[in-house]
Amino acid sequence: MTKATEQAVDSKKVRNRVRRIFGYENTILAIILIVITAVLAIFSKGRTVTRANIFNMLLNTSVRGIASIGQLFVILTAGIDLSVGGLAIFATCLGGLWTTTGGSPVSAWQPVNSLPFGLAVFLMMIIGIGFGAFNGVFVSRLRVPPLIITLALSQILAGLSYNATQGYTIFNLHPALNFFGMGRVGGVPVPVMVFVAVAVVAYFVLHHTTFGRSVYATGGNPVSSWLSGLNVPRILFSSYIICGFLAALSGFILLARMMAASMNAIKGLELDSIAAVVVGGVSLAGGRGTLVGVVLGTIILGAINNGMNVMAVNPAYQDIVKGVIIIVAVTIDMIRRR
Amino acid sequence: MKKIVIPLLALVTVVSIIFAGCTQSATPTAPTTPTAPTTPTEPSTPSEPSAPATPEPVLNPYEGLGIKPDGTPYRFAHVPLFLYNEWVAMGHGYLMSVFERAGATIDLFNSNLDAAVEMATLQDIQANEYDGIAILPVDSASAGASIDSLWAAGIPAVSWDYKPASDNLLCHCEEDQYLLGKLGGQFFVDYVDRTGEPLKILELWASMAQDGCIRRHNGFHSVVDGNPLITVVESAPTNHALEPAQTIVLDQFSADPELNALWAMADTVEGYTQGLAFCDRRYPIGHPKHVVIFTGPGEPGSLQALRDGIVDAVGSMSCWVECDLVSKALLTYVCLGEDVPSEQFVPPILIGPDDTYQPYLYGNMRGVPFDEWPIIPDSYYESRGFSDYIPTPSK
Repeated sequence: MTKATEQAVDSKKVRNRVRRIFGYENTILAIILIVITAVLAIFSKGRTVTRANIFNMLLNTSVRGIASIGQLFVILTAGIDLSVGGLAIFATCLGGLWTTTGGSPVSAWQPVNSLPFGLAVFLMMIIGIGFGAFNGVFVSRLRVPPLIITLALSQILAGLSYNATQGYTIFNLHPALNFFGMGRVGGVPVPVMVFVAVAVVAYFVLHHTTFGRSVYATGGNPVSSWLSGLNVPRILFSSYIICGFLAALSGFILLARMMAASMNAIKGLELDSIAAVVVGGVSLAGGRGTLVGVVLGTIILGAINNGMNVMAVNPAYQDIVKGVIIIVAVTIDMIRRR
Repeated sequence: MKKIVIPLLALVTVVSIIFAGCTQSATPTAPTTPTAPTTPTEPSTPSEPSAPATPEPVLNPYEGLGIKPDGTPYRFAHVPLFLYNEWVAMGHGYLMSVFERAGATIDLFNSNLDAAVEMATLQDIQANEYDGIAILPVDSASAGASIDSLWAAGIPAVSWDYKPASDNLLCHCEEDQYLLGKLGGQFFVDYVDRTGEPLKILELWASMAQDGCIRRHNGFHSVVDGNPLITVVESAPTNHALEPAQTIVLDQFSADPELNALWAMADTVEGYTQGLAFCDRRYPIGHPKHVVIFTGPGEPGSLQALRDGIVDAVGSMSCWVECDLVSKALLTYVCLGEDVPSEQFVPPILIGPDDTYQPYLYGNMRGVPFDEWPIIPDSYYESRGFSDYIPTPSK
């Protein structure tokens, strides 16, 4: 081989390697995160990149992150779940009522004696699974559009939450919640560890199991999936159950972090979870997207929020800045994916 | 999967039904006072506050007032801007108990922070010919137009907390929110004057879209701006939610060690005290790491934090006082046919650690059924320097 030919071959290898790197699904997202982190670090004079602040940012992102992972399963099937926020709040309210000690009951939802902690948490998760199944039945069996049924459920859950708490903030919660909300293991906040654990399990399920591949197939082309022998209704049903369970889990972490249960504990969780999924490169049409992308999307949004707070940006401009950054991030990623 | 999930769904339904019960009590009770919030390094040691020094319940002066000459009850409606808030919940509970004591009825609606829903609700109320309404409006401008229409239909409206823009509003009742902001500002000015210690204050916004919050902000800045020892950093709005309050406080206090004070204009004490705990800044008065905190409106959580020394002072913005005046305005005008003043702006009071059990603080009324809350006597308003109050009506 002549020298010119060798150089041409080497150059081609380098170009292919670069294409492989940047062609990887989430490379651009990772680069966007790095750029945002760098810009925030410069403008905040390094305050956003301290170890303590990074853990704070991840801690503040944990509740939304868990809900976003649940939302991912649904959106991959070309669905959507607008009841995530309502379900998290409802689970929080019930968890508070079931674990509070002392005081006269607020409503008939509160037992006279608080439930054992483990049982209360278990029932919170069952509530999440149950309402996820509620959505799943309507979407998979009755073919009700997901937007409609989940929106309706969010209204129902708001009413149930008010019914349960009568608008009050519930205190005197079980001290075991302190560990899940404020505890640290090896310096890492427990909510962050829960978020990471959920992400790891979800990654395995989505990318290394038949069920995960079925979710992608169902979202990509439900008719072909059905003709190929996949039980599409069951896959849809399961996706909403997973979303419901993770919404309840995010509610549990929220309860532990606040050490109080309130109907106004958090707002806009459903839209935040959808935003994280979309920023993470998941197609709302279904069938495309990765868990890593959603995690990166969640962290990008969390980093922007954290950066705005740390730099004490004028609140009148914060929403504008956040919106612009999101538009730029998503646009760059969309262009790359074409 | 179906074999497991469907029985689980059934179990959820059954469990829900069991816990929901079939009926609720007519007068919902308020939950009990919370125990002290704990710092992360200390085990939870709930403290039992001593019994509040609540005066003896006043005999019901409203007996029979709410019954029309034909024997039917007067019908009132209450339209608050949202329901998922302890302050609104306790205000409505007290209102309901007052009208029930009078023999009238009061129906609860919910605007759900939606001005369009509020407008539609007010139109429905007009169509259903209520005798009077109490309203905590979402939006002053849109509510104003509806109130004009109600007045034309012979239905008077009394507002509390946020004043709608209407010339036909019967009365507006409020613990003055501008003065509440001034009270907070003066607290910090007095602090720096007394100690000489400069303060860098985080102003924790509630909602930048609500004029009551804007008035609190303006009142606060009218006092502190220009003070050489005070710097104010404004936060993003919490929209009355706990999680944003926690997040904002955690982020900003972690990133800026110079921040040593907090002005929290709304009831998010559980959120921001947990945020301080996360960044190891939740310590009582006297500790080197203590954050000087002034907060409103005097809910149970803030009074408890005051007793624990976490919060330095509370500015009252009492749903009890406001709803008391609302009920008096409606009963006086509708049931007795007497005129009432067009405004009731009660000056807020400063609650310190040593007087958290003073009378008529709604934050101490947890665990007390609403129909046992005493009617606030006229002498209380006089003691607060407010002489233009609506006197207690009676038949």
